[in-house]
Amino acid sequence: MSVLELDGLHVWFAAPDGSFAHAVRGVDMRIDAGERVGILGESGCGKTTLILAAMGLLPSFASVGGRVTLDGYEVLAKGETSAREVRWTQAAMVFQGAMNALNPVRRVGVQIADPMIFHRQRGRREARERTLEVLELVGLPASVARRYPHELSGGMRQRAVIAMAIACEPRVLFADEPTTALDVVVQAQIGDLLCELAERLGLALVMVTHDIGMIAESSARAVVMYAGVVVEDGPTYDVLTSPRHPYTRLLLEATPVVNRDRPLVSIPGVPPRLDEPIEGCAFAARCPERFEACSVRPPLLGHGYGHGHVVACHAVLQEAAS
Amino acid sequence: MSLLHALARRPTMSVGISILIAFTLMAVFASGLEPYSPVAPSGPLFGAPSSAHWLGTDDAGVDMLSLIIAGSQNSMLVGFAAAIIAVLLGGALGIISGYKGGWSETGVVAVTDFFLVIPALPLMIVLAALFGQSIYQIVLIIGLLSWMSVTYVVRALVHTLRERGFVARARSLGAGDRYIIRHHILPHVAPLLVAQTVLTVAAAVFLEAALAFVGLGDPSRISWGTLIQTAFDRTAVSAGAWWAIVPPGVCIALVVLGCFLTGQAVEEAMNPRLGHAHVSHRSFSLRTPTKDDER
Amino acid sequence: MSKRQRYVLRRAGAAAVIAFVAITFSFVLFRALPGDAVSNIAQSPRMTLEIKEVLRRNFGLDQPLTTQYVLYLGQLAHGNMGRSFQDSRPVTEVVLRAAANTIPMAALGTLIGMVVGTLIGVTAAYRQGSSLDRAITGTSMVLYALPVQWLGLLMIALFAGVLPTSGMSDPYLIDPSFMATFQDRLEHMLLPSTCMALLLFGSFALVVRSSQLEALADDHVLTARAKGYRNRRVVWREAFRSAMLPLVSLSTLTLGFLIAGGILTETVFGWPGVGRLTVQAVSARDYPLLQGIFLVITLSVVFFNFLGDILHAVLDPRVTQ
Repeated sequence: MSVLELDGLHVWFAAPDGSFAHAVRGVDMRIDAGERVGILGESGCGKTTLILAAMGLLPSFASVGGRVTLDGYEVLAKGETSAREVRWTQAAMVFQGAMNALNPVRRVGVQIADPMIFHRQRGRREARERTLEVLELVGLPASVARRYPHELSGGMRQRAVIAMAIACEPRVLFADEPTTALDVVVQAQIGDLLCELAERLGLALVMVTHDIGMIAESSARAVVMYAGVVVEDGPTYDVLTSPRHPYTRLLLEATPVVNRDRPLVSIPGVPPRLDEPIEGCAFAARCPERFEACSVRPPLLGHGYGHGHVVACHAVLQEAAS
Repeated sequence: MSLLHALARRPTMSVGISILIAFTLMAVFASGLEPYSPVAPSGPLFGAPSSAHWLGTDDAGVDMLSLIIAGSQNSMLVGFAAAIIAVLLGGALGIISGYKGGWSETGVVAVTDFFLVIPALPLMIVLAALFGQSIYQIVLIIGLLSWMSVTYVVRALVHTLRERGFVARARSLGAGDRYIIRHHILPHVAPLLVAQTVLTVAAAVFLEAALAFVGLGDPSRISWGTLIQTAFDRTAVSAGAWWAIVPPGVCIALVVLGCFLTGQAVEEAMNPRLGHAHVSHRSFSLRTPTKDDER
Repeated sequence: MSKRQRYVLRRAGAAAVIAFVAITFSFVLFRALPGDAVSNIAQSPRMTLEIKEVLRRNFGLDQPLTTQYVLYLGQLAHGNMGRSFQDSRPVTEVVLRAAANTIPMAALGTLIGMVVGTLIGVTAAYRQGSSLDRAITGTSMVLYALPVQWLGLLMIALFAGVLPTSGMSDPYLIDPSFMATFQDRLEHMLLPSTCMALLLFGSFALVVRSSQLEALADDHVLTARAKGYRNRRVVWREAFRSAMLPLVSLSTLTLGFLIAGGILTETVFGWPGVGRLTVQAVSARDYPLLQGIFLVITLSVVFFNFLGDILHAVLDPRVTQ
């Protein structure tokens, strides 16, 4: 039973000079209840924009096309007004850099409890009880509720933000680079915490990151994005051990491995400009496997190998067909 | 220089600097531009604007346009001279206190805070009454009481510069304080000093007019401030002679506006505001993907 | 003692020090002057040397400076600020009377200017880029750039027949009722207060708009939006709550200077307040009076600054660290 469906999702950003950057170029995705998905890709590939669009949190200079369906409800039917209905109660987000996601002049407990009262889920006393409940769930002592954000360490703040996000019992939890600003030890702890919570609470977890290790540890399914499109989507183990898409393969090869003595590789070239139309496959210019069809038609997601593992690549699909 | 590029692209900068250049030129070439004498009568008393006298004449029959042009000289002179004094003093204090820290910083901060608390205009009035009202004294009085906000912002900037790596690196290479200040700090502070100078010019022009209004301007010179004061004293209002009142105020307002626009543009170019507002009266729009967009 | 209490005590101590330095500065400025004040009065042809000496002794100007200073401090402690040179009335009384005139007019104008300016600034920030925003920004810049005295003159020219343009009350009202007096006072107050309000409105609108725009780009504002709060709540309870912190200092400073009355405004409108008193005192070289005015203004600013520090600590929990 899918809890979140993206159908042909497009996002454009208007620039001051009137041109548009096409940041998300037609993404289809289905996420089931309780599924843990990691969205992987380099900066600028559109992964953050994607999840912001799913909650309708785009800025005023953005335009969005396609459909986002959350538990049967069309989030983007009326733009901001319809999106507001699902926020926090059905879908919540943990933002990058929790330091700033919290209001610096209000106590943490108040910030966790307020949305519950606002959405009429609970009265004041019950909200307070639930606040202590979620603090415990994320492994924070009850005294944190009385504190201000600047009095907490980075890791504690990130946990507080997670507690805040699950307070209203959403069905989907988005996490945007939840561990990037933290030190390594805390990173692992937060990653584990997110997994644990997703399992315990039956949440769907959609985690956006460029940290391959984080995806390996905490997501059952990996989605690779490049230049606004999904290029590979499958079980994490399969995608990371036997990647099909040339981009995924090169990306994994470019990741330095500590205990292997090997020169650093990088992918030659740069990602395409998003304010110009792209003919054919977005990765073609840098792809070692490209052939004529790649510059003509954009490849569609099709079955590569294995169950539930799809790839958007002419070369792969051609080979699979034969 | 990227800063100059950023500036050239801003319309507020072009408007601001054009106004300032226009008035500076007017001040510099004043004697050449005046159609009539700014001291001798050349028309009727409180004559209305006509083709002969574009801005009419004042209560003594002197052409208003010539008065305005003549006045620009002293107003702009006081503005720039006082601003330069204020910024040199304030900038030096800001750099030294921000860079050195410790006791010198505490001392400068205490002095700055103290002078911020003293009511400026009353003090200037008292000083002008005490020590004389010639234009040089007025420039000094205004300049020596306008340095505080410059010190404040320069000190803040030097603090952030100090945090950045290059100061520590230069030190570890053996560079002395004076070298570091000259080669690392000053280039970054310079644009801010320019912006502050321009903003202080606005304040100085305004203060000169204020001092003149209470009778403490240089009596031997014409400035926009003295023109407003004359209009007030000689009851231009009841005579209905709006042309004696309006032009000097408009000139001051334009110069202040020009300074404000320019100063703001420079400061914004130095610190571009990153990030956009997360809520606004408009929200994102819905758009149906066209055939070209579909895969 | 809690951190907050310690902070309050520290700020109080700093304020006391500044106040003391200001008192001393005031003394130095007005006593240690070139040209002793009595000499000014002594311009009169009937002034003999003996009378001069008597005057000098009366005003305590014949003592060494240090003695004068101690006397001065002692007098101040009793609320005695000396006597005016012009008419020998106690300075304290003269200044307080003028302050009683200034405060209603200046408070009305200042508060309206600040409040309206803030509301407009927040609105402009919310509607950034729209024509309303451009209109607000343009108008505010123009108002900010206009010289006060000129604005006042213009208002007099425009409203000459409609509203009283000078003084605080109508001297020709015969045996007026309370309502009549009240209405009369209000009418006289309208123009000068509006003049002050317009001036402040411009600068406040610009500063608030700028501060609010920065606050609207903060991450916690996006979080608030993600929580499903409506825009109005996000703008005021999330963004403005952060934006108003730097505004507190500006506001309290403005309020502190309120008692200076707007020297220019009061002169233009003939309002018998502290501002106009300052100008009169200067032209008469009435140093005790000037000193008193100076002190009152400075102490007012110090006090309001102190209040501002406290308010800042209350509003921003990060301050006491």
